Amino acid sequence: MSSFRRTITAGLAAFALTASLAACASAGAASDGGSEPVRIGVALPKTGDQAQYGEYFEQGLDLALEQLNAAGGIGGRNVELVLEDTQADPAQAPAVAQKFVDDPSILAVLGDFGTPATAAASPILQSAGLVQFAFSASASTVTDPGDYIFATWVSQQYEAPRLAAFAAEQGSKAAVFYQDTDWGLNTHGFFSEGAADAGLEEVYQTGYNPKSTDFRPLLLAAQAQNPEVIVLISYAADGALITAQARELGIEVPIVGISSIYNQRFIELAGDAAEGVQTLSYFTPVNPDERVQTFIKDFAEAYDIETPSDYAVRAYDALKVVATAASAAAESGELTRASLRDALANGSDFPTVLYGPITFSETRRVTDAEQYPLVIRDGAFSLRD
Amino acid sequence: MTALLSVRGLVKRFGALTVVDDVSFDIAPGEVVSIIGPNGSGKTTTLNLICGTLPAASGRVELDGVEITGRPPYRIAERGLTRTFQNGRVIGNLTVGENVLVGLEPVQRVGRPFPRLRHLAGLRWIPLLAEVGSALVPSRARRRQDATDRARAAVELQRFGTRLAPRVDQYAYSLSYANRRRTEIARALVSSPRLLVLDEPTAGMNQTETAEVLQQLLELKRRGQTILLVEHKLDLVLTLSDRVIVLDDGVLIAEGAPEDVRRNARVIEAYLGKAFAEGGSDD
Amino acid sequence: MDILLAGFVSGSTYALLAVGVSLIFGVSNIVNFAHGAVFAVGGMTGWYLAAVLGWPLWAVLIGVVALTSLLGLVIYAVAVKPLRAAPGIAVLLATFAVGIILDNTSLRVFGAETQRFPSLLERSNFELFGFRFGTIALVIIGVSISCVVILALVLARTRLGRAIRATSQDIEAAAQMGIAVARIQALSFVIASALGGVAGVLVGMYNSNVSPSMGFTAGVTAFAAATIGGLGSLPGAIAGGLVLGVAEAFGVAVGGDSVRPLVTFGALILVLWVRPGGILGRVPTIASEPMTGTFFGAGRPLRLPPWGALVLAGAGALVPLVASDYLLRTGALVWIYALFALSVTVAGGFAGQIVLGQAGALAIGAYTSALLVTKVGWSFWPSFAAAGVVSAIFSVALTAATWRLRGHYVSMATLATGGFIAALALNIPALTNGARGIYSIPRPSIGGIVVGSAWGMYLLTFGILLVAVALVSRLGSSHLGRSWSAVREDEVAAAASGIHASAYKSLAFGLGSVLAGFAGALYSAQVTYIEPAQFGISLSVLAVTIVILGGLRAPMGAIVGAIVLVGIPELFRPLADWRLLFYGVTLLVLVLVRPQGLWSHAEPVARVWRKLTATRRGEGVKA
Repeated sequence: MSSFRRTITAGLAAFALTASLAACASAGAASDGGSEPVRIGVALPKTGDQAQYGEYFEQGLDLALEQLNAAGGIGGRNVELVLEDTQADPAQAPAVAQKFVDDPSILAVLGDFGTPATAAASPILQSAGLVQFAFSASASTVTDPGDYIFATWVSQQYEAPRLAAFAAEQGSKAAVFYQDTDWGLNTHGFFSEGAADAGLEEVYQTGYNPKSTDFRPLLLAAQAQNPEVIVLISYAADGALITAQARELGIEVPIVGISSIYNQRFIELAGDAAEGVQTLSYFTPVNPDERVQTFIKDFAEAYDIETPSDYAVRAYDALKVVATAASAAAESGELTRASLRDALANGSDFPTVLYGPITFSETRRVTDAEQYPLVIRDGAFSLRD
Repeated sequence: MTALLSVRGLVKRFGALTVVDDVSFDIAPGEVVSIIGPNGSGKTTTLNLICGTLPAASGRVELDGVEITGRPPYRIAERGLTRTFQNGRVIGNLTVGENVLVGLEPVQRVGRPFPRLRHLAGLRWIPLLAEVGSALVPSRARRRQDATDRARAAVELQRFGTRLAPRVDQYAYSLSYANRRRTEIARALVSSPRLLVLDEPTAGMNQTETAEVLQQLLELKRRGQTILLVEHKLDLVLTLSDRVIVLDDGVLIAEGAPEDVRRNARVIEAYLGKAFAEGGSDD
Repeated sequence: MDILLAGFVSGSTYALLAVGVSLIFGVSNIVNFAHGAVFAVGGMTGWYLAAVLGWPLWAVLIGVVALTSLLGLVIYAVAVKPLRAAPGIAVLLATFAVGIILDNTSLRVFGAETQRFPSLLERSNFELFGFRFGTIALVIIGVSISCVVILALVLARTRLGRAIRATSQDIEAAAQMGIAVARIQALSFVIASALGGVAGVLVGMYNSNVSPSMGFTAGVTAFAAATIGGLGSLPGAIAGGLVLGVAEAFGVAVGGDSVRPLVTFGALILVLWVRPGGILGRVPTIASEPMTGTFFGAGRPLRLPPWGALVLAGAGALVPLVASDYLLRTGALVWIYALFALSVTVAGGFAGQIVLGQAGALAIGAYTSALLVTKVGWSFWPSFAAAGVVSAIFSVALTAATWRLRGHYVSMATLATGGFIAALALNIPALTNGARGIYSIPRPSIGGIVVGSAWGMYLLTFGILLVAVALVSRLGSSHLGRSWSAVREDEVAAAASGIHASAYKSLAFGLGSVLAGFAGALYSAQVTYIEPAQFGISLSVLAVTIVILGGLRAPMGAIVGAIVLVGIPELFRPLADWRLLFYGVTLLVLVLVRPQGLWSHAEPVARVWRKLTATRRGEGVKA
């Protein structure tokens, strides 16, 4: 084929491809109520480094979804979830957000994992007027982009100082390890502020790459400062590694971790070293509250897992809260993206497993909630005292 | 008369092996000098040392009174020394015409502003960026120069009759071996170099092709081109050269008019062994 | 001094890996980028055998060695043997592709989670001369030493060892002596991979954890260690590994954990600047380096007639009329990646330097414009221009000493530079906000109008890309294009023709970095949030893959490649699991079958390649 014809063909093919994809992409279901399902988008990491958290999300979401539809759905309509993989990557999150925006049947978006991916999607969702329900983003600035952004994770500005006070119970000199990530840095910032008030001195503090596997040089440097307690601002996997290696090096001081180490994987990965590690958690299976106990029972039935992950609980709560708001909106008029937002902003006492009943503040956040002190004994988390 | 090329005490070692051992000679303007010697005698290495392709351990090379030892090859080319290689190194992905145009790089002025800054690290970015600008937005002077260059290249190609001229837009990798070598010679000549260095220009060519090359070189010689070449084909060497230099094991063992060198006992010994030397020479 | 010991222990695992890298390099002149993946597979398999099947240590080691040895053979057969005659960069990319494939297959088989590696030994600590030892540390050092000693004995005393040494000194001579060179090379892969597997198990035991993603960093570190010690030198590899391990340990103790990549890449750059041969090695002096860029750029690119270009440009510009916002945002991203890849077209396609660190230039551009807009309040165009300029200045400065090197040393140096820049972004939080990244980067504001909409960004990126393509094409067909072709194909001949090769290589790289910087500015405006982790090595290799896929020699190649490698996976999100695998397989197939890319004439590269190399055979430093 001559170069001329080749070019024309290429151009036409490209154009045709574009047009057909455009046609596919913009064909969305019209949502005019009736018996059309209520569709809610979910941005989560299904693949990539954070895939395990996506798995936890799905556990919570599926359980909530099942229960919702069994109870009649929202305003008599079935609820459907549309999951899109972002790999928790802020470079991919905007595209996914745009996809949701373009689909008029999507009434709200849950997710993402982590503030970076969430924040990357916010501008698009805000300017399009689609609720972003950020249940797994902890930065204090998450809801700043606008009034369509909601966040349930209690800001680190409350949790971190509490952790400092908690650590101060073990000793007055702390060696602090925090993830060198957006989350870790922010949390540590608030922690340091709280430490001063709690009478806790940070004799050693260091950020670390969450993907690191060898913490020995850091631990040795910490040990040289004679700390009385080690504080972990980590996730379960890296926290477990630090713990295990600390014990190996013969560092015996108490270890205190932030709520994200509350995860069975922490115990699995740290092995014997996990014994005696303490944490503060919003969620614990031994919370006698009926809602919590029912949830734990249902979860165990569905997945055969005794200790649900924090993240699964949050995801479960997220869908339930949005569904409650949607029902309220449907009842008092038409269920649209805007009315759903208003229902969330103006409603009160949304039921959650993690925090109990919650109401969103002026800045569309959950301000604060109670935490339980837990300690690892005999390979499991139990209430301290 | 002052030598065009002056070589003094060139030495090159590879590990413990001395490949070029204290070689010295001169080339006068307009002379054609050939270097011959048995395989492994250091001929190509000597060329490489003179042209800057390899660094010398010691010694001094001067071109027209200016020292060029240790200078990078592109600087030496700018001073008027161009060369061809043993295997005919053309740029396969360029056309014949483009290959020859590349040969004009050493003498380009238009479109190469601030020539003196080009050799200073750091500052060389000024002329380089200016060159980019000139390439993106060619001035009228530039366009005229391009036309002149193309004409000059065409003239150079004409030298080879119908061999290269009709193939000016063919990619070099598609040429025959002999044509590639011709292209390379054209590239070396187009900048009107003061000294042309040829490394086995007829290697791999058959008799007819070799004879053609000989004719072309003779023509160049007639026009006063100074040439230094390494060759194995002794009849070509004897016909073409004003002077012949013989190397053996890196050492210069003989130098002089072709006829004299040919009968030199040491030379014969080097090539054929002692027995023959004792047999046939009359000193 | 416990830190010193910690450094020695991690250093000896690096040494084990580096020995493998150097062994392979010495014998076949190849940099094996799949090495890290083999190490990770070794670790994961070790975990599986130990934790799931409950085997004892000796059985685990045997099992892992058996598997990784086989893997080494497979890598050789698939990625190396078919490319025997091709330049080093081809095999480097092929092994990189194999590494990606291995990593992602391992991910699918073992799952993404970190797994606990059971301690297969009694753990006890004892003290000696003030050093605190754990049993495991002793075991690691012990096993590493034994492996190295055994290897050294084999090399020195056995016939096989002699054959290996002969081959690593001079491949051609060895072949002429009757040594089955191909077999020796395969064997080197097997041995190296076996060592890698052992290292994987040891590291797993030491850290009590393994995860499928542990391979990548380990591979890069091994490779840096081998280069620092001198590629091809086994004692050098050991020295390099230990030096790097200790340097990292001290660096981390002093500067914190994020200093680690800074140490690795910084050391690598330093070595390549000051003593490219490494501590104990030598850079080959003989100027017969094969034409790296020409292998991928062989054959002619398709020539687009001017009206054809207009048609395509017009079609591209009209897309917003029919496409959804989602498609347009994807499109904008595709054009940004095309612009980014264009930097490789200029440096690699024109000047023949396959640069592996362009993500660094992208990062500089992204951060420069983001900071100027958010902190200093500049508007879009000035910060856009600054992004290109600053990126070029830094990239050129960091690589200044590189251009006198040849072939894959250049690739390695640019790889290290890219990694160094990303590590730097992480470590100067005062400027870059470190791991926190920069948030809420505003959309471009042009003439007072905020270009935030999907079609606005699309047209902006498309427009800039068109201008860039026009300029790059113009450069390619100018005298600069000729000079670059000469440098790309035959530096020696180019130099002899009066072309200052290093300067022109550097120029091409600098111009490419300007483009990458521009792409970075657009990127930060597109994703509105940037952090150092986004600019890793994978991004650099993506740029190279895009251009190799599309065709290295013409700007169209960057566009075609970006559409295929960025656009299509984005649109086929459901297959996201397979995206990386697809990418690895594509790269491998490309290198093996069609290195000249899509946008080129179908003339079999083998034929062109043979013709090009025919002129080069026999060239050496003979008299």
